[in-house]
Amino acid sequence: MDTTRLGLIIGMGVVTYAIRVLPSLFFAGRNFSPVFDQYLRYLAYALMASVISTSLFFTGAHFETAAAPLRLLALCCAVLVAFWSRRALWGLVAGVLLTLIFS
Amino acid sequence: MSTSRGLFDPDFLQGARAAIPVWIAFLPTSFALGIAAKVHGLSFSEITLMSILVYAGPAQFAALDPLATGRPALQILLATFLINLRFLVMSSAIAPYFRRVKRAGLLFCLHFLSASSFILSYTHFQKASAKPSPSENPEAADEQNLRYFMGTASTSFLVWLMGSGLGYLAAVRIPPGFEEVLKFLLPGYFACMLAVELRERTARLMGVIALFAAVLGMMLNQNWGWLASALLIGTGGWWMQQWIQRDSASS
Repeated sequence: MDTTRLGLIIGMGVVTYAIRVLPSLFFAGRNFSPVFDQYLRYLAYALMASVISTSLFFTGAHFETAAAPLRLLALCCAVLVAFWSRRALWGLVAGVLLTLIFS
Repeated sequence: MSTSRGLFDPDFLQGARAAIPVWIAFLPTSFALGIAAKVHGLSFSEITLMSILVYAGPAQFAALDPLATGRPALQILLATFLINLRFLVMSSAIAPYFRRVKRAGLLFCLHFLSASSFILSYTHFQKASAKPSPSENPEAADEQNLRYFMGTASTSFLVWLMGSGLGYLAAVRIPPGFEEVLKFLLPGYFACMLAVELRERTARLMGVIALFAAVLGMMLNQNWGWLASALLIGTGGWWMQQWIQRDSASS
């Protein structure tokens, strides 16, 4: 196993564990304001959308110009199906099928 | 008073039964994560270790590309921290229900906290605490809560671990020619989950803007662009939602 990656995975584990454990030791029962809760949610959503974009349209730092339009089309189709059916899995199936047809 | 009987403890089993829908939801996500890890060139032991130590889908997904391409360590850890900050609210909200349990046990069990196990356990504890039970010893009630929590959380964790491993092994056996599907699988699934989860119009709009802004951000700065754009758009979206709420409350 690559030692740098190993160190980073352990680091990610430590960071996540600290966030899971420290509040229950120091802020047990404390009610965070709904405004703060909403900010954390919005931050997580924006980060997720950003990661979806970079992992779908980039390989490393290279923007995949040729493949991007089809991937965007498949993504839009998947999202619309998921949104209307209220089932993420149906959306994924639609997106995968479109990718299979066009690739 | 109920006594602990490990895996056959009634509270643990009740929690495990309540978590069955979570197992069903975790399987495709963790499976897709395993496939994506293989596509990004991570080893089986690396994705397994990540699922054990991190056990947080969005953060694991966000780390795949930066890990594979050797992006700065600070960026990976900062992204992990920001994405997982939502555990802060969950952990502090659920903590009062474990107030009297042994500290060492609690420190171990909280590693298995996920959004799903939190929702299941928290709603169960709230319902249980609303029922009067004068004979119940508070210490025993907290122990019971922890066993229920472990029933939901540890079984979901095992499904996650198994799913990511199976996904990785399946990706090894997928014949060439399916690269586009493999590349699409995990980001596509997370996008679908966001489409189902985001209810506020502002959040939906923010998600679309963040998607395109990340491309621009990456072109401007390949290391930090996506993270900076997400922080900016997330903060802007939240501010806009606050403004809309204030405006509708005052009118």
